[in-house]
Amino acid sequence: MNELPGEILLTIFRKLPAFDFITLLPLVCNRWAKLVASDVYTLKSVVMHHLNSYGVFFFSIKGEAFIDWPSEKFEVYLRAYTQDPLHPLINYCDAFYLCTQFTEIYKHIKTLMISRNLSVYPTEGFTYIKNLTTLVFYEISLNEINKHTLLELGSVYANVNEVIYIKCRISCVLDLKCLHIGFKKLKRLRVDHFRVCDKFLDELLKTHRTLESVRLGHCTIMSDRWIDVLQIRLKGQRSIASLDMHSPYFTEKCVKEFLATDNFFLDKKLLKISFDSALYPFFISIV
Amino acid sequence: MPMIKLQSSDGEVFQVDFEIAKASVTIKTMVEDLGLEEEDEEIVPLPNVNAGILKKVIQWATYHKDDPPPPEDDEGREKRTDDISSWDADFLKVDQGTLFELILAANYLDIKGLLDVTCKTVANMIKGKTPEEIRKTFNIKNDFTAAEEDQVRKENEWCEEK
Repeated sequence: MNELPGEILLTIFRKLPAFDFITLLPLVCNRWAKLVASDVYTLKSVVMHHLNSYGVFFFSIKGEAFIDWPSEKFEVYLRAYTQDPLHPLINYCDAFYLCTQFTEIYKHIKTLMISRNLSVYPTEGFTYIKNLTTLVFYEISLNEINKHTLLELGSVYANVNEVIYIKCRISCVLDLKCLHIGFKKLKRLRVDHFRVCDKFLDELLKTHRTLESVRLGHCTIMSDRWIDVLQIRLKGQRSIASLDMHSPYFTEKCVKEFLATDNFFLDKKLLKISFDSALYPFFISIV
Repeated sequence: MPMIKLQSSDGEVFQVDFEIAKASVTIKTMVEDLGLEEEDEEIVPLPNVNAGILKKVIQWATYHKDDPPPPEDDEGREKRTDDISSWDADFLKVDQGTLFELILAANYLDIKGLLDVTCKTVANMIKGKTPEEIRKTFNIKNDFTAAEEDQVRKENEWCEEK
């Protein structure tokens, strides 16, 4: 088989799942290891997925579109994979070993999902992920001791522009600023947590002047103060491309006044303010 | 029906329906470049394919002559290797040497469908095996140094437990 030209071997290798491509083939012989490491075409379609504290999982994305999936689909995807016995987990050290052996992989990882235990996450191991743009925190506990790790992640993964928190437990003493302040190039943020409030939104819009979208879920908009924050932080600086807000506590007067202003709306047809509750009560797209 | 004569590397000449031979982009291009006509007696030489393999290739192309053109490569498409038809599976029940020669021929003749199914067959021979089993299956020499091999074996434990 090794008499076949490299390009043909790669044609065969590309028929295999990404997991086998990265973790199995390079262990057969030096030539196969070099072929895999050189195959930018395939490595470009690989992302790394941290499934739990020590589990790391590689999988193939179905085109770039995966990155643009609505964030909640990560959850569905995650569930589908965890129930799939054909896709075994590899532990953190093995994955780290593979990444150090095949540094090409680093260059193409765009999404990193971390779950459960942030303190075991040694960021020094992943300083090469220079093209990482999306960071997903899934089911992790965040408390005071993780504050510095969150800030560190923001500086280590300096190109991250999308940060997503799904099903995380956030300590009541943790300053919510930590969720975003370290990510200097933040463009898209999603936080699902009941602690999110108008103060969080205020701080977020004040800190990140280049934000493009914010989705806040599993929280309750408790007052018109959210509308005030938008008026204060965006007026004269940014325009609202679309907005979807839900609260049973909005007053008609405030909403009417907000909608009557022409200062920062691009298209009023894309504004939706409802006097009800919703799982995701806040979404804004800003330009 | 227009026919074309194909000559294998070992000199054997095969007369093939041109519509079937056109499954090969290489042959189609050669015919066009040479400006061959229906009544021409000119022989198209295929110096990289021996008679045994060329016969198999013609057999495959004849069976698949009415297939729709294979889809373009699409990274987003789901990778499957379990969709080999039973005819193809039977056709490819050959020794490894013949299978690899068919791959080389499909690549040289640029027959996408044949290349795809032969590569899938080899991929299926890799799937589910440990690195050691793969080496054994394909008679590949383990050329890692002793230190590398130790390291590989240690790091590979999780893989072999699959």
